[in-house]
Amino acid sequence: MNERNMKPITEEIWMDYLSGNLSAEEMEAIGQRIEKEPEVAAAWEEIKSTWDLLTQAEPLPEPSTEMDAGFDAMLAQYAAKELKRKPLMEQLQSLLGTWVVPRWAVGALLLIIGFGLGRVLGPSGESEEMVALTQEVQDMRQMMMLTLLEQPRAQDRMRAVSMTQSLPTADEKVIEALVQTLHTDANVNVRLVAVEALAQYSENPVARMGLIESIAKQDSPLVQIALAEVMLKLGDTQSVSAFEELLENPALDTTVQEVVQETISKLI
Amino acid sequence: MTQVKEGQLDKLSLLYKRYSRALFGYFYHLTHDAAHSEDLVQTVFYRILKYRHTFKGDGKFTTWMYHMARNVRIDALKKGSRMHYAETLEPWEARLETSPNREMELTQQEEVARVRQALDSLPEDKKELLVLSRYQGLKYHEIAKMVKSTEGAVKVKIHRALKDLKAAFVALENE
Repeated sequence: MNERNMKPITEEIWMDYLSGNLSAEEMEAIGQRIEKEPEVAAAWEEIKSTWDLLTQAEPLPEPSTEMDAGFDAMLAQYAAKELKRKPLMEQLQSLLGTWVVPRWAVGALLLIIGFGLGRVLGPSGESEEMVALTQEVQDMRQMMMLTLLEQPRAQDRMRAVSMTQSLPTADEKVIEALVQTLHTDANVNVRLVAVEALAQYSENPVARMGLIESIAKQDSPLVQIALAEVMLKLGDTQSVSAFEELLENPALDTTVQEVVQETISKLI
Repeated sequence: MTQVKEGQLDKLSLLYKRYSRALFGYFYHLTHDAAHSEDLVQTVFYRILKYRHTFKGDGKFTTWMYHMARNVRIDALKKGSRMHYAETLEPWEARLETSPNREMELTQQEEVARVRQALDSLPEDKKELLVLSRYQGLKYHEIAKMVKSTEGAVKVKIHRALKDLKAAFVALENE
């Protein structure tokens, strides 16, 4: 046994040997030591057998199809929200993808769509039916939203909150449900979407008070920042005292502290 | 991911198709709760969208994704989120009834349960290192980047985690 072979094999080298992360020469040298030195062989056996043991862990179940559906819904809702922020011309262009369309063609298309909509939605005998139908669809959406909000899965609840964005108006029941979700939902993302949803009904006093009251109830820095951003956007000075109280919390995240201080200074 | 960052949000579907199962595996091995793991996968992809501007593109997407997954998991733990353990015995019992090698399967099932129990008995950081390297197939340098450590330190920690796992497994065997 030469001197080189006597060198102890460090933990790092063992891990590299296990993952085949050494040169062919080094792999070969350790392989030989395993064959010749009982202590080295025992050390390797210990590592290898434990590593192999892990393959016996329980088989991985297939995720449910709901996971994929939830992702699709989340992506669609997010993309729709992004699209809403863009000007109409840009929206059309992104919908048309990579086609090269001259601006006059887009303009003409808009004109035609406008003309068509005018004819369909204009005063006619069918308009009352149309209004009733729209109301029915909205009621159904509202009901579905309230049911989804009760679901145990966060992705369902997120979908429910996102649905409110497609509701042109929301009644007190929906707003109260959103406020309740913002105050009590265990999932941060659901609460984040609830902040955005309530912000769009900020003219409703229940929604606005719900947002303000929530400042003291949130412990997630993400939600706290989202609330500060919304209040700043709404220019709501009523929220200042709630933010000042939040700043008194010594455990408050430092980033949140900065954002809240900035928000207060801009609101005052 | 670069395309997603540039605003082509539909490209996230491709990333989801490619990585959601692996991500589900990561959470499942840590929680043994399929429904909770699905929620966590959903949360990771939501955060990927929301924070896509923070992807610098100088490293692998998977490293960034697992870094985000890790934070989601830490947040869930902080929240003291539910630690439901999915019932896995039923399918085994069903199979055992018709199996000619009932005894062998029973032994195998007991061993699987022991491995899981031993893994769960490890501290969270050690358990996570084993899951990342063994089940998720991440390289040591990728794990090091994720956990903000050095490659050498990660190797040493995994080696020690393996030793602890073996000790826990043997102790359970002798119970």
